[in-house]
Order: sequence, then C-alpha cells, then structure tokens
Amino acid sequence: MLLGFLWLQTIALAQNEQVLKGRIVDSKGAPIAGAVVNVAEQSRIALSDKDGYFILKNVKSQDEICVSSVGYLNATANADFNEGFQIVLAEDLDEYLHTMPVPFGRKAKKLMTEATSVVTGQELQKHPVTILQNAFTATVNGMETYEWSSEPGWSETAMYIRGIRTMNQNARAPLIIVDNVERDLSFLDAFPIENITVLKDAASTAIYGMRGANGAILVTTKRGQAGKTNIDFTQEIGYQMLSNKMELQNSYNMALTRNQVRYLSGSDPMYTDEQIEKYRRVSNGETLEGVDRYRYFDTNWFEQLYRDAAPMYKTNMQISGGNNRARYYVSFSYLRQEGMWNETGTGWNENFDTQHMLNRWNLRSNIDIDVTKFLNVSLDLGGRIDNINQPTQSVFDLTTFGAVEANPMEPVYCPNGELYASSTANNPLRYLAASGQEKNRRRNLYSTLSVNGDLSSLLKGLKVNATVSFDSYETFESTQRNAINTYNYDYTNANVTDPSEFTYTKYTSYSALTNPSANQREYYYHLNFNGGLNYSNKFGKHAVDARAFIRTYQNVVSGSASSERTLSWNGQAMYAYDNKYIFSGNISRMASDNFAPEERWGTFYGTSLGWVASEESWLKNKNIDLLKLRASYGRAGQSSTGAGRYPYQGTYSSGTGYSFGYSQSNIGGYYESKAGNSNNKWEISDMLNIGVDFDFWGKKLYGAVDVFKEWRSGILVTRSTIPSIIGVSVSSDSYGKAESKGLEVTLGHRGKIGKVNYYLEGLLTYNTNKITEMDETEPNVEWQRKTGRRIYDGTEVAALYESSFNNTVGGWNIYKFVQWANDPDKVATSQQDAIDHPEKYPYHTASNGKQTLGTAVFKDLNGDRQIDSNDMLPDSYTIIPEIIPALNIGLEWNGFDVRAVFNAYLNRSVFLSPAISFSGWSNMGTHEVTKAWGYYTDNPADPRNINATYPRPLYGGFNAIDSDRATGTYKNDIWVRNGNYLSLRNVEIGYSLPKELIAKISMTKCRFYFSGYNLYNWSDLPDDVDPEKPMSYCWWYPKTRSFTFGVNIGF
Amino acid sequence: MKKTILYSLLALIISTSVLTSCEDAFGSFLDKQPSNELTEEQVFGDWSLMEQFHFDTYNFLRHGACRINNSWLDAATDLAETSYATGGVRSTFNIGNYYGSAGAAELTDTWEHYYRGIRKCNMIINRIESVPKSADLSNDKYLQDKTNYTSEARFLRAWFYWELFLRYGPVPIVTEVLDPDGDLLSGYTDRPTVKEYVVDFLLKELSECESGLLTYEDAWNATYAGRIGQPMARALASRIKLYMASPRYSAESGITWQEAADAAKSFMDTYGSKFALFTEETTDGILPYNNALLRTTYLDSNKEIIFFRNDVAVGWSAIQNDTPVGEGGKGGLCPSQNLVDMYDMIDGSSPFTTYDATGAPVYNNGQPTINTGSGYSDATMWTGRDKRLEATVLYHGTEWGNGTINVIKGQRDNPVGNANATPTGYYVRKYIPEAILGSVHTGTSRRLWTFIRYAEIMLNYAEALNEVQGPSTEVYNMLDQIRRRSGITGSVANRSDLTSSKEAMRNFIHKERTVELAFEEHRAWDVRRWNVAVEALSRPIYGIDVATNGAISRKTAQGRVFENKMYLYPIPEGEVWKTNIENNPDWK
Repeated sequence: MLLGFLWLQTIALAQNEQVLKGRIVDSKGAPIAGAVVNVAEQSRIALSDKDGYFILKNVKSQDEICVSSVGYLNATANADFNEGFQIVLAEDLDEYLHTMPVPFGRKAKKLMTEATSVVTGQELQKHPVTILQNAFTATVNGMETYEWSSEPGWSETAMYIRGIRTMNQNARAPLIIVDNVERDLSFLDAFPIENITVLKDAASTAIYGMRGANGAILVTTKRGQAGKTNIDFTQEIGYQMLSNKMELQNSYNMALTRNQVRYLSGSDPMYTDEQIEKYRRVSNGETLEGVDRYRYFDTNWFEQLYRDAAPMYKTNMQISGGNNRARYYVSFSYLRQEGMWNETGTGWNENFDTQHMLNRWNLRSNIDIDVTKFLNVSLDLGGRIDNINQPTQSVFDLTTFGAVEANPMEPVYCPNGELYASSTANNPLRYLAASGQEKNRRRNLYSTLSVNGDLSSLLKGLKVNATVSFDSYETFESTQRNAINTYNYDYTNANVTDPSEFTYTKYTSYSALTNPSANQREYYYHLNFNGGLNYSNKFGKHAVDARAFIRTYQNVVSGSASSERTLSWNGQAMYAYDNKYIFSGNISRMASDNFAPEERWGTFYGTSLGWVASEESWLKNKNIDLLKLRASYGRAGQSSTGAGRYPYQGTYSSGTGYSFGYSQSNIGGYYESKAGNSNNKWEISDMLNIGVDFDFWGKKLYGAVDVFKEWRSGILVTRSTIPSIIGVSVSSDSYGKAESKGLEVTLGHRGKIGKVNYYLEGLLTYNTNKITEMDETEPNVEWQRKTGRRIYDGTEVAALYESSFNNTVGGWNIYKFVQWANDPDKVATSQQDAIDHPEKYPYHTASNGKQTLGTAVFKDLNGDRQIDSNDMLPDSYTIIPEIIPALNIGLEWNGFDVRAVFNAYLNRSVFLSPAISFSGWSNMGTHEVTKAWGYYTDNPADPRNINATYPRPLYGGFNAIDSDRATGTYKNDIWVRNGNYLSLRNVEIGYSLPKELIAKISMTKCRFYFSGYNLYNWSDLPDDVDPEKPMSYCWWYPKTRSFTFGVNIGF
Repeated sequence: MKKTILYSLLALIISTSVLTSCEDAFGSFLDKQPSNELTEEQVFGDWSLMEQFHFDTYNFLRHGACRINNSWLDAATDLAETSYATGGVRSTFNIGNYYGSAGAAELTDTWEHYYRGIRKCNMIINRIESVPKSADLSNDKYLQDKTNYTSEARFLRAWFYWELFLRYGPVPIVTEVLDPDGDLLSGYTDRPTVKEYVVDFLLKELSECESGLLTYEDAWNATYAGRIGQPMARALASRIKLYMASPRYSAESGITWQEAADAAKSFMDTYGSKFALFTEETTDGILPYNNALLRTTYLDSNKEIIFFRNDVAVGWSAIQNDTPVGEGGKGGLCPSQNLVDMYDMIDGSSPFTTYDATGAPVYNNGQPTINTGSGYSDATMWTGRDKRLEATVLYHGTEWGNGTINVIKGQRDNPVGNANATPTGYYVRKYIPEAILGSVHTGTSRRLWTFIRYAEIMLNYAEALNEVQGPSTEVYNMLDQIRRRSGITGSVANRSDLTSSKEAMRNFIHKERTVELAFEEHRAWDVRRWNVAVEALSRPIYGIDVATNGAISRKTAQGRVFENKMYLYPIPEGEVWKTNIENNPDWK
C-alpha cells in the first residue's frame, strides 16, 4: 500500500511541471513567514520568507497546494501560476475549540464538563521508558503508578486513577480503551499515539457501564490527514543502568560482626586477630602473599552479577498522508532492550548467550477510505511481536542466591582458574553460565473495521456507525537447560602451605544445552461490536450532539471454556447554548453474563453541567481566554472483581476420593467447593466532581482545579457474620463500602524573555480513602478497627516481596518503636514482674518472655506491660502515594530546548527488609552491619547501643523480637518506613536545525536530543535504595535508570 | 426550534423504548454458556456424580495418628507425652491453652470440619430423592442404593455430631442444607440439652438408619469393606449409651447402666457370631494384640474390627514421626510411666496395692505402693508384665525395628542435643507396623484407623454390668477373654481383692479399658465421662531414666495443667463472635 502511494507520486512528478510563486498572508493581509507549502500528497516543501513569499518547483496546473503554519488554520488552494498568487491563512483564534477524544467521539475542549486529563503521544515520547505507564505519573494529573517489575519483556506497572478506592485488590485496575475498544496498554509504544485522555469522574465513565468505576484511559492513535505526505523517522540509542545497588558488607566487617555477635551470645570468637587483620587488608584492596592469597577474599558478588550498562535501541518510522478520498497512517517501531547481567557469565558458553534480550516490533496501520460521499470505511490494524530471550534460572535465584545471600569471604575462581561455587557462595557467574535459555514469543494482533454512513439526506447531522474488532494474543515458550563444571576447595585448611596442596571438590558438572521443550503458554481473544446512530447539529446558538448505540464484548481466555460477555445499550447527549451553557449526560444499561440472570442488568448514568463564564458578554475580555466552571455527578460500575466465573452458582470440585475394599480402587470424590451468592456483583462508584478551568493573558496563567468525592459500594467482602455451621465456604458478598476524596490542581505559566520561550507547569494529585462498611468482627482493641481507616491490603509484609507483581499495596498494623533495650537492669523477668515494679522496669516485656538486649522496646498501647499483637497500630500508608506533586519546566532558545520533570511521592510507606542490615538466611550481610545493630557492647551507656539503626543480630538466627524472619514479623516502624521521595524523573536536552536550512531538502524537522529517566532521588531511606522500589535489588530484577541519545527527522 | 424539540422528543422516546425493551433483543447472548465449573444441578442431576459426592464424605472420618500436628490425642492425656516442644499438644492442651493454634486442626478447625461433613450428609439425605435414576441401574438396585446411601449419610452425620459432642458438648443440630443467603442465626444459636442432642437425635438416628445400611455380608466383603454397615450403628449406639450412663451425663441423659449393658449385649447377641477378638498368629500375646489393629478385616480375616477408616498402604513417612530417634524417627508419641504402671503382671495379679477411679495406681510422691505379692520391682519393672505392655511400649532393651532400644543418655535413642529424643524414656510400639522398617524403611503396610473394635464392646458390657449388678461371672468372663488373648494366665475370678467390691472392680475395669484401648483415642473421653479428668490429666507425667549401668530411676517428665473448664473445648472464637452462641462454661 505504502509503496503504491510512493509510486503514484513518482508518476505524477514526471508530467509537465512549472515553478509556482506565491505569497502567504493572514486575514489582514500581513505576510506570514515560515509557513510550510507543499503540493497535496507530496512531501516536498517550500517555506515562505519573511515577506511571506515562497517558490515551489515542479508544480502542475491541476495541483492542490497545501499551507500550514503554527497559529493558523491549514489552508488549501489550487495552483495558480499568475502573478500575485496569494493564499490567505485564517488565524487559529481559540485553541479551546480544538477537539479532543472522548468516549465514542470527539468534543471541543471548551465544551468538556467532565474531569479529564490529557497527555499527548509527543510528550510521552520524551521519556526514555520501555513501559508507557512509567511516564504517566509525572505527566497525567490524578494518576498514580508503581513499577513492580523492571525485567525486560516482563515489566509491569500498576496504575490507579484517583487512588486505591476499593478494598478488593482485584477491582482496582482502570479501564483501558484503545480507539474505542477494550485493550491492554502494556507494551504499546508512544509513537502512534495521538493522545491519551484519562477519564477520572464517574460522569465521564458511566458510558462504560460496569467497567468504568476505576476511571478510564482512552488511547487514540494517529490517523492520516489529507494534504502533505509526512514521513517521520526516529532513532534512539540508549543505556540502562541500575538505579540501586546496595553496598555489600565486606569480609572484614563480616568477620568483626560474627566475632562480636558470638561474644555477645557467650560463644568463642570465630576468627583470630590475625585472620581479622588479613580480612581487613583484603577488604582494603590489598593482594596477600603466598597461600593467603587463595584463602582470604573480599568478593563483591553484585559486581559478578551485573554489568555497568545495558544497551537499548529504538527505531520508529511513521508515514502518513492521503487525499479527500483516502487517508493513511502507518507506524513501525523496533525496540531492543538488553538485560543487566554480567557478560562474563552470560557469554560463558560459545554457542549461546543467556542475557535477557527483548526484541519488539510494533506495527500500526490506520486507513480511512471514503467509498462514497455517504459511506466511509476505516480499517485499523495493529500487530506486535515480542521475542524475549532470558536465563532459565529465575531472577530470584540469580539475585538472591547468586549475590545477596552469597558469602563475601569466598572466591570467584579457584587457584587453578576453574569457576568456584559452593552452597554458601552460589556464584552468579555459574548461575548465568549454567542457566540455559528461555525463549518467550508473543504474537498480538489488533484489528478494527469500522463503517460510517452519513444519513444527512434523511436528517441533517445523522450518522450511522458500526464497528467490529477482533484482537488476539498468544504466548509461546521454550526452555533449554545446561550446566557447567564448577569446583570448590578447602581454602580454610590450615595445613595447606602451598596453593598446589589444596583439595578440589567438584560442585557441579557440565551438561550440554538440552533440546528446547516448547509449549503454548496462553492465549486470549476479544471480539467487540459497537453500532448505533450519531446525531450532531447546530441550530443558531444551540448545539446538539447525541448518540445511541449498542456494544457487545466477548473475551475468551485460555483455560476457560466459556467466554466472558457483556452487552450494553448506551445513550449520550450534549447540549450547548452559545458555547456558554453546557449540559451533558449519558446512560448505559449494561449486563454481564457472569451474574445471576435476574441480577445481571445495571443502569449507569452520568450528568454534568458547565458554564463558560469567559463567553459571557460582561466578562468577555482579551485577558481572559478561558474561565469555565463545571460540576458532574455519575454512577459507574466495576464488574471485574476477581470473583471468578459465575459466582452466583455453587461450585463443586473433585476431591481426594475414597477407597473401599481390598483392591482400594479409588472412587473419585466430589465436594461443594463454594456456595454461590447472588449478591456477588459489580462494585458501584458514585462520584461528585467540581472543577474549574482557566487561562488568563494567553497562558500567562492557566490551569485547572478538580475536587471529587466518591462513594463506593458493592465491594466484595467476606461476610464475617456467616458462621461455620453452614458447612461450606461462601462466595464473597457485595456488601462493603468505602469513600474517597481528593483533588487535582494544574497550574501553568508560559512566557518569553527576549528570544527565550519558557514554561512552568505544576501538577498536584491528592486523594485519600477510608473504609466505611466491611462487616467487621469486633476487634480485640479499638485502635485496630479497620472500618473508618484507610484501605490497605493485609497486615503481612510478606505479601510484598513473595511475588514480584501481585497488586498488593501493603499497609500494615505495626509496632511503634520507642528505644533499644540497652540496659540489662531494666529488663523484667516476666509480665507480672513488669506490672509489679513499673518503677524498676521501664521496658515492657515481650510476648514470648524476656526482652533480649539490643532488640526494640515498643510502645505498650494497651498498658498491660506486655508487647503483643494488641499493641500494633494500623497507622502506616501504602506504597501507593496519596500526594503527588510534579513540576515540569522547560525553555527554548535558538533551536535549543531543555526541560526537566520532577515529581514527588508523599504520604507513602515502604517496607525495608532486614536484609538491609543483615540477611535472615545464611548470615550474609548486605550492609555495614557494625554501624547498624542494637547491642554493640556490654556498656548500656555506649552511644552505639542507644543510637543503633537496626536491631541486634543473634548468631545463627537474628531474633530481635519483631524484626526476625523466622517469626515472620517485621511489623514495626523500624522496617516499615516513610517512603516519601522527590525524583528527577526526566531531563531532555535537544537541538533542532534551523527550518530554513533543512527546508532545502524538504525536511520539516531535524532534532538531536539527549534524554534521561529516573535520574536522581531524594529520600530518607538508606543510600543506594531506589525509593520507588526499595527492595528490588534484593529479590527481583533491579530498577533501572536510563539515558538515550536520539535523532528525529521529519519530511 | 419547534422542530428541534420535536426531534429531540422523538429521539428520547425511541432511545428510552429501545433501552427498556431490548434487553432481550440479543436473545441468548448473555445466557450461561457451557463451562468447566461443576454445579449443583450437575452433581445432583447425575446418579454417578452424586454417588461420588456421597463417597467423598468418608474422607471426613479423621485418622488419629498425628491428629494434633505431630502429636496424638492420647499425648494430651496421662498416657503419653510428645517430644515436640511446640507445634503439638505440649504448647496447647498440656498447658491448658485450648485456644492455641499450634495444635492446628484439632483446635482450630474441628468445628468447621465436622459441620462441613454434616452439610454433605444433609445434602444427600435431602436431595437424593430428586436425583434421576441412571439408565443402566436396575430398579431394585436403585432403590437399594438410595436406601443405603441415605442411611450411610445418617450414620456419618451421627458420627460427626458425636465427635463434636465429645469436644464441645451439645452444639446446634443442623439437618437442613443451609442457604448462605438465608437466616443462619436464629435457629442455631441456642444449644440443645444433652438429652435432646444425644438421646432424641443421635440415638434415634442410629436406630433408624441401621436397617437401611449394608448388611454385614455386603459391607465386610473384599469389594465394599470400609462402607458403613449395620453392625457399626449398633456398636456406636453401645458406646454412646455407655457414655450417657456414666457419671458425667447420666443425670442429664436419663440413660441407665442397664440400658448401656443392654446396648452392648444386643450387639453381641445380634452380631456376635460375625465378630470376635483377633486371636490368631502366635500365642505370645504380642502379635494377636497388635495385629488386632494392623490386620485388615477383608484381607486377613480380622473379625475384631467393627468401624474403621479404610486407608491405602503407607510407608516410612507415615510412621517416621512416631518412631524412636535411633530408628530415624521423631518421638511424636512417647508413652508415659503412668501408662506403664497400669499394666498387670502376666499372672493376672496387680503390681501395686491400690488404684483409683482413673485406672491408675495411687501415687505417693510420684511412687505407687508396690504389691509385694506380685513379684514386681522398679528395678525390673518391665519383666513379668502383661504382654500388652511390651506390645504397646518400646522400652529400654527391646529389640525392635533395626536395633535395640537404648535410652541411656547420649546413646542410640536418647542422643544429646536431639530435641526429639523421648522425654519419658519410652517410645510407642502399638499401631506402628514394624513391616515398614524392613529393607531400610522401604516396606509398606496397611494401617487403617479403627474407631470401634469388638474388645471395646466387651469392655462396654463389663463396665455397665458391673455398675448394674456388681462383680459377676459374666463380667469376669468378658475381662478374662481380653486379658488371656495377651497372655495373662490368671483369672479375674481369682482376684479376691476385686470380686469383693463393686468399686474395686470399677477401678479395675477402668484400668483394663485404659490399657487395652491405649492410643485408640479413648482415654481423653473416658476420664471425662468418669468425672475424673482433673485427677487424671493434671497429674504429672512420669518417666524413667536409665543410667549407664542399666539402673532405672523414676522421674517427673512433665507437669500438666487441667482445670474443670477443660472438660470441654471452647467454641472457636470466630464462631462466638459471629453468632453470639453461648460458649462452654468458663471459656470466654
């Protein structure tokens, strides 16, 4: 198709051509400089000079000439070779009359009365990220994101619009709509995106019925425009680096620690002073002499595991254009992202590489054809191919066993040059070299066929539309394994006097790469249909825009025999008087097949009002470009609640069965696994939103303020009032309620000082929530009542790190730290002792008996002189921040442009693992432990005992009453910490070649740029911890920062 | 303008009518599609699925080995202790912490477990009538099966309620299939009386369901063995009536000792020819006694087993928890000296002078008074005893498994630093199939859990009859049969110290019942129904040390806590919160 167009152009060029001369002027006849002039459907251009004159070669007499210039509406005219040929451009007076995408249509910004945020694809492109969502937090007001996993090809980022508004962690995801069809956003690239509209209030999402309660993200892809043929090419080369890599404990520190811990536990030291001295020397980087060189090590296993930088490439090509009959837009992108693993390990084997490697191809083609004057057909195709190579060994094994929990006192190589490995130093090089290859292939196809009929002959402004879309997604996987030879030797053997005397033990043995075992992992497909009538017309000052349509959705997922279905009847209407008073409403009557037949249908509605005060004659003023007040109220639903298929029906499962008689042939058994509950339905969001939009003095001061309150109901909760005598598990009940409130503020300023154009734009997102009803049983102590408090998931921090992506946001009942137990005289022998002698024993007893020195003394909330679960307080935040301020600043001068994006996450708690000070397993530290523990010496007055950062470790187990892995309780504010931080998210510096220069070769833009992402963070957390994902270095693929150099060329 | 309003009105009318009347326009689009979830309609719409649903209920019969995590229920009595310091009875029952979670299933989910079983039974009983007969089933067979299944469900339900009763006392009786949307509280928060619960419900159910159960011939053959058969209902009724005639319950239940005796007698009269003590194998007294539990009814013609859980053969992993540490085990069940002291001498005389109603000898400072005439001495305490001692308890010097038991400190079965070394000086032998230990622990064996065996019926009869008429020949006869199987030579009739007094005979029967049924989950409930649980269960657990020279010395292995309120378990906290049901006395 593309080639076809190019070919047609070439033919056209061959016919009798002349030189066209003319002038571009505005409506007052003043010349316009720098306007782009071209022949329709061609990409050759000419620029008008400072007097508005232009010269365009090779023009034929029938050619249509297109002109465009910033600040003016595009214009076309037939070529006229006479003297005095002039094209008049009309000023683009009111940018608020430009339309923006809204559900199932477009609407002028001025007429928007709902709460929305918009970001353009162009803005998103500036962030050198591989996951689009990561750029949202700083650019879209009202949105929170959290990057769970940064692994190439498997990156996952959770998104929340206006916060976490429901207790049901499976019902928080916003709806994603790409070109009016429900689709996924992950792995979409920014290039083909025209803009993203985030619908925040229920009045705007009510049209999506029982899918809209969490807000919606509307992605609109670019479409071809008649006129100039545009070619846009981008090439980026970048690097990713680790954003956090904790300082590992060196072997000198480790030896000191072990000795001191043993001393404090009453055991003999593990290392002699002579050995300590040798560890000190190797830790200072010295090379020891003789056999000691092979005996004392200070290995930094992170250095063995990671490389410094991983390359990243991005290429994109977009071609668009067309004429009045047909228009096209095509985008093709390629992304290559490599992993952070050490190349020595990944390249160990000759014939294959075990590095993480993502190769992604993204294709988008949108074609619109006007078949007749009354019939328009659009065909949109999208395709994505992901090829991911990765180590078969899991990321958890590589990071945790490979480095974090490996012993720094062990070597990387044996004296004879073989790779060293042991059960306490698994050696990441060995893991990488012997990890085989796992290959994942994803194949996605997105297709939409849309037919639009113009029924104006019947009724002016009436249109009929039908859209069918089919999306399919498939994943294949193959794994291959191998192993390599590794050895260890008796490096601690004191009898060895010469390196040749060491005895070697084989730890693992070579095995060749196995044949791939391939399988299809999963697939799904969606089938969407949407059809109805549009009516849009103006009668003098009255504007009406209305729509009625039906929408169906079917989704088949691997592993499920039945497809999920929804059906809805929808209506939208907007009425505006003189662009001044706006009334807008929509209604959706929607059903999902997942609910009981008599409970299926729900009605969702939204209504909003707007008053554009700046259109009033008494206020109309050139200093006020926009002043609009608006209010909305609506009801939307959320039917994806994680309740599974048909929760209204009881389900039966096969049980263990039972055997009778001698033969014991098993009789398969069935049991009732869940009793149905017809009140297991969708959540309901009722939301009120009040807002104001303003623009004074031509963007000298502009912005928007939105405040909202949401009443959420129908949240699935486990009814605590269902007693066990019922004898079966019962499906959750749509009984819970929660309330959220918050605000979003945007404030901007654009200005010009001399030749410098600059801008400042601040965003502020704030929201908070509370549970208002959850059928809670009476808590032991009043302060642990959940109703009335902030929503959080569980009280176990374990949920946060046992899985890399599980939607759990944490929030915890925690013990409150008071001081370290540093004085043996203040420790009571029992709870009774503590009660009887409060003056003597200021510490409270631990629930499991006597308080150990160096452990935390917590606040005794109920005053029973004992610390137990009743003394925990649910006063932490979650990892999803409640307040996000962001600042976007930039300037342009003489072709140079610079900008920076800052944002902060506030009102946020994070969990730090005890691995910060020492790892719970195998006594390997990841930090300078001697600076950090709570019981350093026997002297109670020693400031190190009083001012320690972390609790005391015990040899062979770090039992610090509530900071110990074995007891599973890190639930205190030693480990659950303030997660506030400020981040320099993005900096971009660019230089564009002067238009006059590049226009000579018909180039419209040529820009070179440098961009960085996740550049620097300020927080209260320990150094080298990424505050967004503090423990990622410990268990998962570490979070990265990235830098990109790029060039963007347009013809 | 007028036109506009008109058109708008028209559009409104059309869209409203479209929205309201067109919900069905897409016909079956929203209908439930075939899916892979199994529903109630399917299960109770298919005879074979319903059958499988019914047979699955048998899984709610719990196996007693390691019932309380690593410990047995009898380790929560004076018969044994566990080596596990945590995660079993020591950190729960034995220190009076009945709300503890370490005992896991027994303390935290027994309540829910049996109510789940009960719901399954209720579903069969209430819905089987509506399940269509499968085509390949003859009408006779269909009617027969239907009767059998219903009756089995009623029996199982009675058993589950009985298990609940032992632990919690009378609890709400649910006989309908509760609807989660319905009223779950008003009918089920009041607690029935003992008479309403046991006599009016349990005993009535058992007598009504008996005739509908499989006959002995059908239920004890090689195909169906393990299914509920008629004798089981009669046997369970015997046990329940004995309990109800006992001091703790008689006033409330109104059941007399005579009725209890009649119940046992009726079993013997009706089914006596089918059942008998297992006396085959050798006559050394050990094998017949142990194999009465380990031999199966169908393969080995063991006629003693009445009601059991039919499990598949097990291997080392199933017994490792309870074997001596020298054998590689973990000492999960370590018999106490208290139990050892209860065994008589092989000649039928008692080693100690006086016994109390708990069946144990009377201790003075941890030492029972020796009956000098019996020939017993602490120095040779395991010699010349009732063979059931050797069959039940592994003591120092016993050759068993792949070695000889040696509990001298620091030696094979009592190594220093092994937390699982026996705290009492003994390990358990009963119920542990030695066959598994062969060929480096690779053997397998059946180890079915027995709920009721014939010896219990005989003991039920002896106990009740003694209460009715005092010592009599019929009583001696029952006891002698059981004692002789294990090699005791003397006759009870010759024990003048017993035959002269109903009370002495009562204590003797209590002791006899305890040793015969040791580790079969009787002790915990027997001492409760005899109203002697505080005496029996707050008494220290005694054990022995064996010195390097072989000298045996008694010691106190564990102190115990047992208060009156522990006669019953507390109702789970969550359930009390939810329903406000009256908790058991003194539990809050």
